[in-house]
Amino acid sequence: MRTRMLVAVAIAGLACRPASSGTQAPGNEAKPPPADAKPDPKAAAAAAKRAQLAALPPLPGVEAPKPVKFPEAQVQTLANGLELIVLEDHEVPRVGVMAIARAGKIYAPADQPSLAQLTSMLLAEGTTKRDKVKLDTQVDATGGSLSPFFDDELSGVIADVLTRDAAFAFTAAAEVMATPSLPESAFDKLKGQIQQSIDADKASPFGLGARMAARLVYGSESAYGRPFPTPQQVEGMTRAQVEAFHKRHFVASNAMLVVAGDITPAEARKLADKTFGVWAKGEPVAIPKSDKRKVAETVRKIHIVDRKASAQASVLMVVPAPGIGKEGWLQIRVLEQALGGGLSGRLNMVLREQLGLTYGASAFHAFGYDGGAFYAGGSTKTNSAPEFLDALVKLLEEPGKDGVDQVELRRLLLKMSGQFAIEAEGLQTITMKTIQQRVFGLAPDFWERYRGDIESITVEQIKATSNSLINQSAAQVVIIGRADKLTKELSGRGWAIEVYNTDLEKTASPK
Amino acid sequence: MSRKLIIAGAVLAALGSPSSAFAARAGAGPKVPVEKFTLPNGLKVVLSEDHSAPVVTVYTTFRVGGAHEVKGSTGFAHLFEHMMFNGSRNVPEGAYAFYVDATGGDVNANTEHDRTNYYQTVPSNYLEGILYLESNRMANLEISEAALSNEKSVVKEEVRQQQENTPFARTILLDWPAVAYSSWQYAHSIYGSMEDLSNAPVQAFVDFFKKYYAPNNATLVICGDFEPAKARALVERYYGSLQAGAPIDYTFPEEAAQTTAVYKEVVDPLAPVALTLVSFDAPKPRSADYVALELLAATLAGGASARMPRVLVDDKKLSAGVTLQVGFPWMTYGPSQMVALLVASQGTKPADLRAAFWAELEEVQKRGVSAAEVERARAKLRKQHVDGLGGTHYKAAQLATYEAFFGGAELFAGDIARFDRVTPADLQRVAKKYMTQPASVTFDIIPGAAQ
Repeated sequence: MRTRMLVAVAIAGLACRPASSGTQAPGNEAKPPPADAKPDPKAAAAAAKRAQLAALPPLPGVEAPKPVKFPEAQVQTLANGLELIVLEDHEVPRVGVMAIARAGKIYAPADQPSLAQLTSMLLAEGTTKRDKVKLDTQVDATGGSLSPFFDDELSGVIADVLTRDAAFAFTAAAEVMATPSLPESAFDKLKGQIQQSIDADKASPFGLGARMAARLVYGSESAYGRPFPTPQQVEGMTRAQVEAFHKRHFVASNAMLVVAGDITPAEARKLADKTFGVWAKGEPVAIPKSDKRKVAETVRKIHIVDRKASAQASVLMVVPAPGIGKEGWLQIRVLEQALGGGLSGRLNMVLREQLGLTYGASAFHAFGYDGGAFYAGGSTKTNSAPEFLDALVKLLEEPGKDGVDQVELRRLLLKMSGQFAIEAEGLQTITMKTIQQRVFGLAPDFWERYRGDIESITVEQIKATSNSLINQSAAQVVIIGRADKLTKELSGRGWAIEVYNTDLEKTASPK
Repeated sequence: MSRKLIIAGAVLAALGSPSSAFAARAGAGPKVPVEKFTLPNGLKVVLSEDHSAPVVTVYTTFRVGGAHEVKGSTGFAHLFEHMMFNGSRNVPEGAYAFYVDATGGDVNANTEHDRTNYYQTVPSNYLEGILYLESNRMANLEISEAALSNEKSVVKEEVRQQQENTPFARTILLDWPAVAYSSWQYAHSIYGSMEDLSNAPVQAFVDFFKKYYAPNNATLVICGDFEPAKARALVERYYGSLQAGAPIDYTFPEEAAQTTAVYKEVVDPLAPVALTLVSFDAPKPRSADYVALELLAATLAGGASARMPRVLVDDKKLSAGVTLQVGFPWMTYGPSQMVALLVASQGTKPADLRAAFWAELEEVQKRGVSAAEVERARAKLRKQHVDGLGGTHYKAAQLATYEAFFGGAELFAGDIARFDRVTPADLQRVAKKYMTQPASVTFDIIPGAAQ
């Protein structure tokens, strides 16, 4: 769900399609990682720095944390099966109406990979009752917005208005979801915009990194691991296909209505019955889960995406991980913080503060229905890529070899608890957590228990999770940058190397 | 009632009248209380309570930015944004981030032409700890050769990442300001010259810090869940002993009027699509004409029904997106710039897109805009204002801006009404006065072949 955004964060703090067997540059034969015979002075200095910081006195005047109260999700079901979830919060006179269908990118057929996106974009092109000009004018007159959205799992529309316009927000959102006009006249414009967004992804370390990493983790059997859509696939989409996709997916029993803000559950129910009550019930759509995860790699491999104009190398290590709520996910969240948690995370302490190799490094956990992935990396100048990669690999090994001590774990758990408190300030974050809980089938009290659950994590669990996660003998690294320079810089260092173009097609290694 | 107002009323009526229950709750948003004082050392302090969540934002603005640099010593202001995260006398190197990260809070900083900002949003039980850390680095930052050397390396990577490896960024951050601004202070890169940074002795950085990071050059805002009396006592305890610095000259750079159109075509090998940037000189923020330009930008491009996206994106299909902004890429507090960014749609030539843009603008200059268009723009701006009031970071940033630059933090909450005083005729007038072809600077950024 949050893969793309987080990859962008990592690449910005950084920067991944598969092929069958490896095309290796001469001298790039994969070898097992060298035995770590002598102590690394840089690692020792970093460990000494961590120990020095851990011994600091506490900040003055820190009081006991105050309780964090999230608005409780009030769940009701309309007669047509539409789930209504209300998050009541009267701080600001504003209401968000989120109409959400299980119709994200993973639901699009493999040969029409942009169909969910096009359908989502067409929601904003008018309804059978109001054409686009009228709809836009009426929405803008409220000062609010009516924005279509889509991600991997979900698609829909968000109407965001001042409280006085709440009734209109329900009306507009319901019309757009149930009776969009899907005008043929908008197809060329929207297909052009889709192609431009694909081109933008192919031009950016973020877009290339996200796509390549997903391909390595999920494989082509999974809807999460698909290649970039081709121009022919984008151009070939028809109104009949969109109409059929909409008819199948945009129905009440395959959707939910999340209402957040300055409104009571009773008020929201009344408006929902009036506006969404007539929406066809339809049938829930099965989640296109793939049981076949990508076959695990057996050798350490660097996948270089040749972005010829790159001024930097964006380096990203990626490993498969459990999805949200699955066994081990909380421990992975702790590792995410230990390694990538701000300037004091282990990656930044070494790669940025000790070595000055990067503007920022990060680590994060992303997830979907087909499990999750753990990423770590950053961007560095091209000729520093080997030094950066060596240091990154060592840093990722450390929690599994040496563990984290009790003091560091306490600090990380305190930090995660504090982050949770900060999130209480933003109704949007709370809403997203509520949607995550519903979409991924998490327990109703999943987020309520979160602060308590993390308290039970142990140093032994972190070590074990780290060891099972980071398999250095088969580590997979994506580097976005200049392949001609990178293959030379990285050859003969114990990694197999494959080179791809920005369509993520495997190419011969540059000479 | 004019015909236009009747039509505007009819549009609103078509939306359905707000139900009385909702209408009764419609307001301008929560109040923004302001309590302020100045310490004897000149530190301006603004306190604003908000107990809606156990969160507090501490926001410090120093009136120093790229515009305060001198030739041969560029990049200092931005480098200090980095240096401030290093050690100080009581907080060893690495400890600042160690302490603040442990709160779980959001911490960052940014540098602009006229100001540098440091901000932390943390659980409110850490307020005292944050004030301790902030006052320490302000009083006793350690500026060593080693720390400078590492931060210079990090800045070089930042420049590679943000300016040299990001589509359009080199033109927007480097090429465009050099043409759009006549004053060297605003025209030079905020990142400065790496050569300048490398050549400067440590003492030059010490002097810069002493001059600009003094309490009399700072505004401290605390917004969120705290008791004002206690917060005031903490500020006095931690900041009271800081020594005032010499007075600072707050004169803004003078700008020569752009009188001859400038056109440049730039090939960007990173760019996935063509982008056209058109800019115009604009007056100082909060002047009557600046406010009219703000409302004009919202009227022409704020929302899908606004005429620029409607005509250029929906009707003519020449563009994939249009934005208009006064103060770009961030606000300047002296002379400013009004900037249009036009993303070409697939296969569209920038010249065709520009021609359509100018045609729409000329229409505005000849016939003006309707009252309904202006009212929709006002509604958008009011809604954005109300949205912001839900978060302590937004409020703290605004209060700092108003206190440091606009005459007082207490003016912030009501200042949204400034748009009510602007008429459609004002918009037509400023469109004619400022947004003319002879006074424009245009960059067409064309995708290159290296991709």
